[in-house]
Amino acid sequence: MNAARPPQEHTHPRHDLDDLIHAPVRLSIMAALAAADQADFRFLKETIEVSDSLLSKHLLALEEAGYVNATKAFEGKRPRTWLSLTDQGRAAFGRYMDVLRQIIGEPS
Amino acid sequence: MELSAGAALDEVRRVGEEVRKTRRAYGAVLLALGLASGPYWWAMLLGPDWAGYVAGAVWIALVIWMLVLPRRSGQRGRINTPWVSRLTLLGGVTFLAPMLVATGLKIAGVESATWLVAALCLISGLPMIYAGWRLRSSR
Repeated sequence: MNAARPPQEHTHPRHDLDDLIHAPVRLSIMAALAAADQADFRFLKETIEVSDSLLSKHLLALEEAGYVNATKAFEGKRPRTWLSLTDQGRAAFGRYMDVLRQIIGEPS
Repeated sequence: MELSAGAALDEVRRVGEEVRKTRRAYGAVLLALGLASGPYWWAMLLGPDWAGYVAGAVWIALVIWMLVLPRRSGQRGRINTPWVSRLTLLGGVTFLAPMLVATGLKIAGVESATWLVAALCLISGLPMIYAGWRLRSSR
């Protein structure tokens, strides 16, 4: 007999982790931008140690989600892309960190 | 690749430390510029000839150190904070003020306003000292 049962509710805090942030490269991007108000593309590339194309791909995903803001500027003739967290991105990263600490059992 | 919560926290700490390291290096440059600018202008504008030569040589050494420091730490990328940009801009104005005022006074033939140039030498590096100190002490 198959009695209809309500879907099981998720109680473990890992289910609350933001999947968009909880990926190796995107997490590093979010962490770097949360610590620095603005960082240029080169700083992120050097700090996270990834290729230009991989970094661009993940930045695009974060931009599309509204977490990251990109501003292009020229310094002399050199183009420079500045990246920063949006308010939405900063809030999402704060929530993500709270969940991580909950899982680890650290006080937030 | 599955990322554990512990590994995620470690990565957040590692990246945060990289940002702080870069910020402290930039803070050291601003602090050095701010501390050096007062004595530099004092020697250039108010001191004897030999002091001007020494100040010029020290300034060149300082600029070379500023250019080498980021490469030594392996970082060429940059981070930026709006309040630091504003203070650096203000620092640029106060840095040039002693020279501009001294030149203006010379052209106008005013010789009794050495105190004004001396006062401007004293404050010329303050914005950069403050920005450097805040960058180095921020967590």
